[in-house]
Amino acid sequence: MEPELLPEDIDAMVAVCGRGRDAVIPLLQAVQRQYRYLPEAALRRICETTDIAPADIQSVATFFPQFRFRPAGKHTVCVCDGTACHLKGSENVYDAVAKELGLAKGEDTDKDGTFTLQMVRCLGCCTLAPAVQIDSVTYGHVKSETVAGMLEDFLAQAALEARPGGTKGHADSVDGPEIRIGLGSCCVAGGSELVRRALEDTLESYAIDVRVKHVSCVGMCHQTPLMEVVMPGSPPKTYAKMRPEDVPAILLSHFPPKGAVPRMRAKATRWLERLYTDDAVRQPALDPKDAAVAGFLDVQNRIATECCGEIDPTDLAEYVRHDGFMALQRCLAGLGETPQSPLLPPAAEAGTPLDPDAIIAEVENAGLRGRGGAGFPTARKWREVRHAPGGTKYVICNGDEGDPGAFMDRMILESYTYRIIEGMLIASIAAGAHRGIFYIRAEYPLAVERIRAAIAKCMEAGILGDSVLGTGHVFHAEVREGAGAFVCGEETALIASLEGRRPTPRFRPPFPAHQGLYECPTLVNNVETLAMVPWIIRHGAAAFSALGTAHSKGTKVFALAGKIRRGGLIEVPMGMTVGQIVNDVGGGVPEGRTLKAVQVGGPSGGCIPADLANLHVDYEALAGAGSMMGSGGFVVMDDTDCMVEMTRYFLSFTQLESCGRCTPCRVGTKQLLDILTRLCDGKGTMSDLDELHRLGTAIKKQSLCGLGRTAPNPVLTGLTHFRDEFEAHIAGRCPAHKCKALISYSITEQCIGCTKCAQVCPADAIPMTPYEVHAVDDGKCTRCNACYETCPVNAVKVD
Amino acid sequence: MARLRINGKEVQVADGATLLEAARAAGVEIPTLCWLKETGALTSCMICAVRDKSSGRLLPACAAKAVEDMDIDTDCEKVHEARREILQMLLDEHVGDCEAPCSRICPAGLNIPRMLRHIEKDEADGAARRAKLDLIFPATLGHVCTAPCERVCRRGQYDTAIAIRQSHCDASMPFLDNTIGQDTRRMATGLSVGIVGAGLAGMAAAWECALNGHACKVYEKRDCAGAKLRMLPQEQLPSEVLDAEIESVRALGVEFVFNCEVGSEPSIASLLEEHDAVIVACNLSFTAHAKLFNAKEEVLHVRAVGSGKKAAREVNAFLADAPAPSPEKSFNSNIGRLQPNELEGYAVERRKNVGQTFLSAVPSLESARCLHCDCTKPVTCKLRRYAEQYGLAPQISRIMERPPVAPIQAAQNVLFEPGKCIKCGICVEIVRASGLDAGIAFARRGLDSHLRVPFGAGLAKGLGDVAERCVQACPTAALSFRDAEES
Repeated sequence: MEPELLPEDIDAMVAVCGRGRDAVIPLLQAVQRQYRYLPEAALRRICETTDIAPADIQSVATFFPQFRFRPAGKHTVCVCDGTACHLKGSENVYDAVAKELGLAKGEDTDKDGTFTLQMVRCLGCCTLAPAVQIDSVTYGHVKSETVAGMLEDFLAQAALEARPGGTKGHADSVDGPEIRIGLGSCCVAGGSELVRRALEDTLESYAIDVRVKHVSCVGMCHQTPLMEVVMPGSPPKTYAKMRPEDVPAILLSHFPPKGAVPRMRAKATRWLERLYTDDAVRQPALDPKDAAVAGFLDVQNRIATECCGEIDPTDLAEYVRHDGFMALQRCLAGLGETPQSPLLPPAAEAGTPLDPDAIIAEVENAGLRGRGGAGFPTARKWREVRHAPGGTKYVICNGDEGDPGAFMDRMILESYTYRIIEGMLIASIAAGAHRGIFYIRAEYPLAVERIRAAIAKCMEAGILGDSVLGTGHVFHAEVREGAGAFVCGEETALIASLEGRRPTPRFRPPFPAHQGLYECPTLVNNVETLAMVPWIIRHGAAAFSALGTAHSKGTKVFALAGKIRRGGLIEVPMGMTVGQIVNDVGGGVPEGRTLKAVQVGGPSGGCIPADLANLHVDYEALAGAGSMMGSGGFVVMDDTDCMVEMTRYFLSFTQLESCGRCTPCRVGTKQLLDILTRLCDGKGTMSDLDELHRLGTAIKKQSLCGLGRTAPNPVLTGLTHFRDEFEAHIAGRCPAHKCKALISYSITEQCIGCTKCAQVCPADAIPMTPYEVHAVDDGKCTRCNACYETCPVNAVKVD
Repeated sequence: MARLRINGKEVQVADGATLLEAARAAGVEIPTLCWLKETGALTSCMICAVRDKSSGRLLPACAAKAVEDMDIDTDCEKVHEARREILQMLLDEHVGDCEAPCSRICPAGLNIPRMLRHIEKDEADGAARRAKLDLIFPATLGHVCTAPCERVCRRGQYDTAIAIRQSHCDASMPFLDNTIGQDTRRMATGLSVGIVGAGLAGMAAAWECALNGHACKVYEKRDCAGAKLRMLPQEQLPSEVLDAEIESVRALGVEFVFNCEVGSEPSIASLLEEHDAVIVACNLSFTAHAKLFNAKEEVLHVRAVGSGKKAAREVNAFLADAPAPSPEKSFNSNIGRLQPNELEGYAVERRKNVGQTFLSAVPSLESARCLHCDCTKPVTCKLRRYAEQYGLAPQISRIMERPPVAPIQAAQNVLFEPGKCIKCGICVEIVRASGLDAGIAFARRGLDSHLRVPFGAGLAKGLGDVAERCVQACPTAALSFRDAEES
């Protein structure tokens, strides 16, 4: 069933993507989009018709696991194995999907070529863990037993006609009533698309005239999907965990239908609903004064995520209404010309003009440091680029968020598109750059789509282009999709991939500020860093530096996930303690569990134990504890999580993502992983612990780039803070009952013979014996824990 | 210009010079694997680590630029430790044998694959010479050796082991009356070595010492040399074979004194006075003395020869005022036993006539069955050289599971052995610079990254006309010439 390959098709792709070496990733992506894999004939054709050499295409195409060399099924099932998903059993979900599809070992596509199964990290839907993405549809909270239903539901949805989205308000007035519906990836994955359909149907059938707005991520991802009803003069009412069937009742309670026919219909609906449900309005609105909601929202301080959940991320006019591009106007005015645009208020209202040096000084006084992980002073980078010799300079927005367990950049890109464009424009003025590139992971299709659309709108509105807001500043921006490699977050690797080279980092110096993209001075800033810039310019450096600690100013966005009651995208002042974030913002670990550790900074961060809960979260304090700020993943672990197993998980990630260029990272991470695997299998020895320490230290000191230098962090912090757990594994015990080789399942006399465990067991290890005490066949048992979770009387014992 | 200190010595280098260049200017060599002048810094191997004393950081000397006022240490223990770590990692990833398992296990160190290659090419003289120089008693051992080599012969994992013992026996028998190997004798040193005991160990020590130009005198309490061997039945070891090989030792100028029991008369003290060094090659033991060395008359004959050779090496170093040779063997990377699923891949480009067993009538056919497990660059391989230089144990213990064996690829006279590739990228750069159409490049990433010719075009296309240049630049034996014989 290989698709027919026409040279003309490839030539058309080349015509769009270009013939240069830097077109290699876009071309590969185009080929894969069309054929669902990379047929060799297509690659040969590319080599024949472009400047791309066979060696280049091979070294790039095979580098990214995203690219396939075998035909794939019609739909791709991506099981997320990001940190949060892993904690919540993604491996079992993967096994269940494989079983459901009837895949033998080593196969990834089912017999009739409908589904191809992949393990990916990370989808960035950590609050919905474990998450599964089938093509563009995301399912959250997937369990082994719901897998079959999920696949069915997907096929049913795929059969539905696509219905275009977009902001289609029935009323255009800005002040009228408004219904806000969250359409961030989390909300969509939580089911907001179906809610949107229900909403539109209801509005149509009851002829309700109200503006419907698709808003950015609200941050309360644990409550998705969310719907908010705003009536003029009263505070907005937020409805959480919406189901499509809840929509009519909620709407009718706010908007009594007008006209006879709709009223009749409404009555009938209500009557019918009463028949089938206990309560017409199942979901009461969230009360902002409710302790949980208040705890989540009140301590937050929104700078990068300003106007969270209020504005439509695709609506340029609305961004302008919320002071959008005011900061840009101030900075443009500093260039000596008066920015003008019919869209914007007069430049004079933006404040005193800031020339490029003043912009840099403002950012410097604000104390802004790079939010991508290393915490390099942003102003210093800008100044370096500004003063670097060279006519052509670039600004790159690094949105290659590869950390499993992190989704800040995705949310910011999806929700605050214009803010990032504004941030990049200001950076370009400061640095003297005229070209910008948004480098965004291909796994974030919504972010890619929205930024592309926003760039187009800004071009149209004269905010981007040959004359930004009518001034002499030239700035063109484009989106480039990353192909899914953690190492591409490293700036020299990122630049290599943009140039179409194999994305391996190189030794710095020279830094990109002097020798970056195409050897030109290049400013590489993280998404969140750029998102903070407009706020700083509008509110002043002092307002920003008033927040935070001595050396870490302002706020930090965290992706709060894992074993926590209220996960989501949060923005808090620097210097908050770990405990405050976990307990006050996140509501603590689930009932009955105790906090064990917090993993900050992605897989190469370190685990901070519960007894360091008073640690202030800033760059220096985290580094002091052996962890790092990283990009801001904040994954909470409780007493049921095994630190050895988690360390092994983190190393399995970094090992897989190692580019392979330098010896310490290529070989050393695998050595660490093999030792950790031995420990988890109960085959470790005490000398293994010394070996881990020795290797970890060597890799940290001798690797070429940050990925390698930080990869041993989980091992080293694990050995420091959780040595007893490592030693227990050597003694053949897994205290958290997680390591499969070290535990066994049995059923006690408390069993009531309900057969629930037998029904959920994916390995048929529990015979179906109704009304008798069940038993587990240890040979068949895969230690998936499904029986333990299902048993209503706690009769399943793990030893 | 930048002025900096390398190991305390002040040097001046041009702006933009690397620390490697600065070190050279200071007369300091820094080990490199992935660096080549024409390809520049690839910063992949990371063995060129040096220490910036002010920050304590380790820097790759090949890429880090010399900066004014730097204070660099290239030889402290921390740097050595770092280099050892790198070597251990590279060797953990290395799937290759420095020496063939048969040679490695042979106590006398016979270079078996090389001898077999001579036999295969009908180079009778070369084969006999190799056997004589390595074994000293190749025909005798050809009759009595227990042949540990055959037990580890990889060919045994396919069908039957090569008949190695028979091969060196057959190779040396026609040359029994010959002076083969004696031409390698060095000029007389004017020094003399006394050897107590005329067993295989003693005679082997005497032969080696004599080859090194020392005058040798062997003291034996019995009335003949090789007395123990003479007790074997004639059909097992014909006495004329032993006699002929003892004769070859005598022919080298070694003097035998029979019926002479060292102890009271002559005393060991008098021997020590008479000779510049004394080797005790029997079961007597004497008080330690700087000039006194021991060889062991082992039960296993080939081991006795090995022991004699070792004692002779020690004596030679002592007399030349050189540092004592390390007691261990030289560094040896080791694949270990092949897994059943690896047999096929391992045999590619090595396999000869699998399924054919011993044909004693035609030695060249038997030797043609050899898989040539030995390395093509046992001497020039930088990885091995640095492993010895930085004092790694003769064999590393692997931390991770050994990567699987990958088949050898060939392009005319060039071989590519993927298991020995350290992913330095030098050949990739050489090929790229030559503007080849196909080229060779990395595929995959991380530990899976490996060299591959795009679209399966084959190694010949991949390396094109710079193949030889690549072989010369390759720091290991990943790329080598098929018929290379290094020594």
